[in-house]
Amino acid sequence: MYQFFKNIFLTKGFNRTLVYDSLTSKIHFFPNDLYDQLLLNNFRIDKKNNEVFEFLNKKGLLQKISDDLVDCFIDLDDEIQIPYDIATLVFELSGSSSKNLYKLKNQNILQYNFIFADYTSLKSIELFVDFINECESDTIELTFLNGFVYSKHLFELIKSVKKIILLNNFAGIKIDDPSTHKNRYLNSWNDIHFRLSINFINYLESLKHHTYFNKKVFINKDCEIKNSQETKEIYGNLNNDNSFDIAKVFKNPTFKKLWSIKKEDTLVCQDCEFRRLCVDNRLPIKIKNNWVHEEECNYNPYISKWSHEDGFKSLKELDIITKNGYLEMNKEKLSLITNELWEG
Amino acid sequence: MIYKIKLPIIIKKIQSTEIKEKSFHEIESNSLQTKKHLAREIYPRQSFFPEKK
Ligand code: SF4
Repeated sequence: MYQFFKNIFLTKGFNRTLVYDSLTSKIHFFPNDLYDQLLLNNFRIDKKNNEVFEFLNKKGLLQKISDDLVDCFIDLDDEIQIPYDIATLVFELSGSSSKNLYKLKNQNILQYNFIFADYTSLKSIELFVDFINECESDTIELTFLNGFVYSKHLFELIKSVKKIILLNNFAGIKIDDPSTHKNRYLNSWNDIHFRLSINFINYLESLKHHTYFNKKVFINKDCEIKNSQETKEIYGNLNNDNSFDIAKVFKNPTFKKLWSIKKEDTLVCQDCEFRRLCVDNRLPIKIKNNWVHEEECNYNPYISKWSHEDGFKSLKELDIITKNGYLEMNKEKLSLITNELWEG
Repeated sequence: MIYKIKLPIIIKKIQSTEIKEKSFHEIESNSLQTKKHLAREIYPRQSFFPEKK
């Protein structure tokens, strides 16, 4: 008899089931009919069924197991504890915000993403470099937006920094890096990279949390403290206090209101096979008992197409409506369109 | 139990589409075969999206 390795996780979507191999970071797909069949047999596979066996075994998903050992492989616990108050602090580096950086020193923060833009001054870069040299975080992410003009100066100053530096160059600026350390990595992004993060931490966290808003704090160029760039509410100002304690911010009952909104609770996303690996910065809104988004995702799970792919149609074009707090669609019409898209 | 199912042709195509598999393999090789993976391993995800113009 065969069973799935315990590092393999399945997410059933509208058209297909996603198979996530958490050891190799690979994903595969298989038909929902197969998922239903496997479920009936507790996800155990008999080799006599050649078609299914060959299909799954070729992808390296199966483990041979004798009947008496079958209960010895327990499911992995799919909960994660992140032992930090803040997993990511996103910080717009301006003259005014940089003067307050020292207030973050004793906070329990896993990693930082610093935003450099037209508001970033030379002096603020110097304060930033002092800060990263002293802070405990091993990884610092730098994001460049349009209007940032001091990149040469910045790279000169961080030349000897030994921490891992990740770069998001959204401004397309020329990077002139004199460092000989091999600790800089340029993230390249496309539509899929933006939406999906295929890794085990994300997979585990998405079980109970919103993977974009959870444990995030955003401090803007005017020192205002928010959950993220996209959220409206302001929960204090780094400039006002001589000391800063994130615990005080967290005491506000609404600060964490988006942290636990799972994709399972969100219309459309709950039908998507990528829901456990997705990072989504759209603000969810609650209508009746469901969460919905005003803006559409660039993936349409009802036809299994990304917006940059041939044949993509938006939810609107397919008359799939969520604005009443429940999903309205014409399944027959949808199935005709899907058949047409994937045939031939 | 012996399964007797036929994978529906259309769905078979959806699951095996080369374009998609390729895109994901690219993500995989980017993240696994370079040290970037180690860096991103700490808390690996996109934490900031530039505002749409
Ligand atoms: S529909 Fe989009 S946002 Fe929702 S789970 Fe799928 S990929 Fe993520």
